[in-house]
Amino acid sequence: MYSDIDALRAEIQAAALETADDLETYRLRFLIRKSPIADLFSAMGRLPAEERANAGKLLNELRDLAQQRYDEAKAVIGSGTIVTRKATDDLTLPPAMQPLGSLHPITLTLEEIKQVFFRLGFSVADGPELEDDFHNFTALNFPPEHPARDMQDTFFIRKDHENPENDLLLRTHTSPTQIRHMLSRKPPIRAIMPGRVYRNEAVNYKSYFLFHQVEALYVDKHVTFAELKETLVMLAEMVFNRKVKYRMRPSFFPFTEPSLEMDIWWDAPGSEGRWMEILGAGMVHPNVLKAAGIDPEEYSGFALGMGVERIAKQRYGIDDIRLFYENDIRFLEQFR
Amino acid sequence: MKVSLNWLSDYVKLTAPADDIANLITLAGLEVEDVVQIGSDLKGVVVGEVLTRVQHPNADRLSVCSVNIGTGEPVQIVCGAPNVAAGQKVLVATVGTTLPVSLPDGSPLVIKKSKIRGEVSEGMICAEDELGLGTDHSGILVLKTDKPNGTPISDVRKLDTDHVMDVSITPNRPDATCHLGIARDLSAVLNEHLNKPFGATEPVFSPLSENHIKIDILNPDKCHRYIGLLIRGVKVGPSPDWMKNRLTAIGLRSINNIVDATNYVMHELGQPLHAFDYDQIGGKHIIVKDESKDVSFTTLDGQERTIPAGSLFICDGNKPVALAGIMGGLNSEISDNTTSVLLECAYFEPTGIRKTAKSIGLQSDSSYRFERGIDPNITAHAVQRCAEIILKVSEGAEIIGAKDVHPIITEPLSIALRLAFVNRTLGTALRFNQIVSILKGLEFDVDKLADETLMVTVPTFRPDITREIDLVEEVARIYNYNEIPNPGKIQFSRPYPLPFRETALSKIRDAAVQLGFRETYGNSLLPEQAASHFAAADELIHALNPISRDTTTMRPLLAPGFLKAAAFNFNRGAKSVRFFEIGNIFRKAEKGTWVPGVHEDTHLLLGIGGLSRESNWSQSEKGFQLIEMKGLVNGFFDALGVTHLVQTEIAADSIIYRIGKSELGTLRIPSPEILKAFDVSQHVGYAELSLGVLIPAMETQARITYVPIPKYPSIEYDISLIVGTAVASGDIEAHIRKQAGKTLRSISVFDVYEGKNLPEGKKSLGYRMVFRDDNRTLTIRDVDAIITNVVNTLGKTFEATLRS
Repeated sequence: MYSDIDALRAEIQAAALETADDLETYRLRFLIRKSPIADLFSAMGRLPAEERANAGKLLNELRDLAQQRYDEAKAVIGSGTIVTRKATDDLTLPPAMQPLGSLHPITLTLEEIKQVFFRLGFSVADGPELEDDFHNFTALNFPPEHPARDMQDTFFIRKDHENPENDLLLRTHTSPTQIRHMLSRKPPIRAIMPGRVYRNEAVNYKSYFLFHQVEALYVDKHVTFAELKETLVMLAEMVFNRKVKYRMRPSFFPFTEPSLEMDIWWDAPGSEGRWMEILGAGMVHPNVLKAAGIDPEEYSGFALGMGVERIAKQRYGIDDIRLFYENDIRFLEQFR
Repeated sequence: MKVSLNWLSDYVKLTAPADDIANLITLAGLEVEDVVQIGSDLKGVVVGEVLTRVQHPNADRLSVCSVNIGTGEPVQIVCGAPNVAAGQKVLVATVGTTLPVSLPDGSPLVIKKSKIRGEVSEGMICAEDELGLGTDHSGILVLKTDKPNGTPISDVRKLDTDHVMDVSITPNRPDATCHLGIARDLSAVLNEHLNKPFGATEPVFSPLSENHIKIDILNPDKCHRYIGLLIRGVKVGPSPDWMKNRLTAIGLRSINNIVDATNYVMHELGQPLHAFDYDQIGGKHIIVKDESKDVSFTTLDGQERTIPAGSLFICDGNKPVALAGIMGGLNSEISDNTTSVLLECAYFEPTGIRKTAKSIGLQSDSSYRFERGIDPNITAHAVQRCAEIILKVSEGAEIIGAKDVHPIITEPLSIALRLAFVNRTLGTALRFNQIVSILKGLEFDVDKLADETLMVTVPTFRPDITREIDLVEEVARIYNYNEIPNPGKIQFSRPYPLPFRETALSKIRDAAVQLGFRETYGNSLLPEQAASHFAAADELIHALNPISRDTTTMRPLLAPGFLKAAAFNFNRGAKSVRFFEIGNIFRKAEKGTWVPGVHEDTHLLLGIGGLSRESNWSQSEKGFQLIEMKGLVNGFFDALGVTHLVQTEIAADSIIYRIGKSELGTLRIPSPEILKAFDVSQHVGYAELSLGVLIPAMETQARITYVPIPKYPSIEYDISLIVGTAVASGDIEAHIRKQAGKTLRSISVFDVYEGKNLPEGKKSLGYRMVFRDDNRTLTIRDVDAIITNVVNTLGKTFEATLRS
């Protein structure tokens, strides 16, 4: 009996268990009901009583060993580290593409600009793209028949010859939303006006007949030009996420006085540096405050506006504005 | 507007380089967009002395010279000129010099060290034309100079160089539409004297008799002043070089000495003038009047134009001779035979000029200035100046006299300026005398009114300055915006909350991106034909002045933009599209959203097309199916938490979504005609939703309230039904929901089958139901009872049987 146990133990330990076939052969030899180990259990009855406990212990150990080797080998083989893999199990194969959503570069840029304004305590206001003359021009201190109107070539929708303030047009800037916002609440007012605007201009790589703007308006007591300057510098540094070299030049907008344009110094690697205009701004003109029902002696304010496409073109190195509206997937997929 | 630096220097002392001057002009508020140098400064061209000259060994026409160019060792230069000789002082372009002549390929000539027929040549001895100093090419330029060798050419010859700046003139600055105006800004910034080309007091003219000329202004509101100045003995001919050069430098064509003189004064002083051939003026009578009817008139550009009623004309005794302030008439223009000239110098009111110029689409240098508002008090100075120039450029000419009709006199405006207001607006601490000095530099008269207040008299060339705030800008711009200190911090009042719309739009975009949609930006202006597929003709809104036929009509829906984008990409090889867009749509409506008669709403479009799955080793290609679009829309509603608010109305290939009584939108497959019209080659489907309906619904769900996680287990139960093929699964589902009651928590379809093993006209639908009670553990017996009832009633309603 003991020699049989030793022989079987040696056989179990020596059994090669590398493939599923090996495993099956082993199972049929040691783990079925009629295995040599089972035979030995049956034969135990024939042993003298004082031997049985010791033999039983050895047999149990043998049986456990057989089972343990089987389990271990099965685990290894089953995990596929040994069996030959199927062709489709090849992880170097390219998986199917997942459809990925993406945001348009103008949205990405606009949202970043908005986040900057939100950090600076601005809310947001909304208005229509199809506007009337009053909100788009007259209330913004564009006199009728003034050459200032030529600065913004306008798409007209309907002419009202009786009362030109009722002319309908596509807004040429988001400033009419400033008027609507000022008429809808009392100062202090601190909000941005993002949105689509239209200019009746020929299409080329630099200009398109529609584009997007963000304007900002702050009306309160004691708002100064110096504070406007500081806000603009903060804004530029937060939008471009770095210190910027800038200059401010006097300019003209009918709805602000004094007015300015801000340039930042742009030196892309490999090209000569140049001043690039990024925004227009100024102190809200007293006539505009009045048109919006705000007393210009008590309140002052500043307004600023920038073109989103212009900033997006700069951020991404896009040289043709028309790409924004073609919706070519090969363009859109680049903005993650 | 083009401005010559040399010309500016006539009026203000300028010593800095051109780029610095340009920068000063820009920082004073007139943006210089470009600076171009005209003429070469001939850097590298120096005086040299020919020491020896010998015949070139290999070329008959060439000489080999040894030339001293002041560098110590003489250099050898091969020269082709016949007149070169030892002992001459010449001009030598040294190695590295760029000459103002072009090679045949258009590139500039750069002098290099070279070998010419085997002889080294280090430089070029120049002829006049090679230096751009003239046209002579007969031989090299021989100097009579005792300047040492190596002296730069600029020390021996006066070089005609200039810098021309392209200045962008804002519409509020009519004063800056001339050289004197820009020089004035520079004089204020530099604190330099302004040398005006006319005196402080108005010139006095010898009067003209009625026989010479009669002038009547019938519309003094449109013409505040008209001076006619008569010059006789004029010889029309080419202008002298100095005038030609100035005019061509700023991009004007020289015409003849008389017309050039008027242009010169316009660009000098900003006052447009017109020269009539006096002998062509009928009745020796000038009548300034507007016409009550349309007039056909040939302007001096040779174009016959229809001028609308109400436009102001200059007429003689018989006919119109000029379109006032815009362009003269062909019938009275200066010709080569003109000997007497009547100079017109007038002030025309801006609005009328602008109206006429706009209506006929003709902007001239003259109308550009009148419509901005020229100085009403420069008239006499300008006509005098122009006459003086004509005398200079046309020998023998003689001023006979002038007639000055001045019905409306413009007095300068006076504005009080408070020191405190300046500093309060700007956030500065400027002192009184700083402000006074700036304003005086701009020719404003300043009187002290009170301790802290000035009375400022605004010169009449600044019609844009009408209020105290305008003076603040004048102070700030000359002071330099960049010198105003930045406080380094800002203050703001308590912010108010963001509108819900803003939050909602972010959520909507995020949801679309989560579902794998790419955002597109479509055009809001469409061809009318494209728009007409999506709204009734009487709902469409058109631009009165579209730029092209492709952009006439406001989009009534976003769908056309999606179809265009889909076609664009399919035509470029894309296999599938999955787009979303958020944008405004426009339709005529009884009641407007913002402005009367216009419904303007923000829409969302979700659209897919082409393959919903491309083929790959692990999966086969799968075409677009509308049901996927339905799934995406459902997913979208889920992401926004509004699923339970949305009702649907399902038709064969469209779904209408409603929230309450409002139509939220539709999901659809475009018709084959539309696909053809938009050149879409693949199957597509889209859902278009009104955010004007969706966002208020989202707002009612904006607050999320936590619901406890179920304590009791749920039971899943599957049934398979056999029904007629015409029965809609949605109806069965609705029936089950109704019959099963509130313990039914969800229902899904796990199988749809028709074909083998089923009778003709039948299909099988498998439903998986999940039951749960929040207050106790449901038993299978509870569920069995519900199922029995469901199956029974399904049998009665739909003739459904259980599939065994």
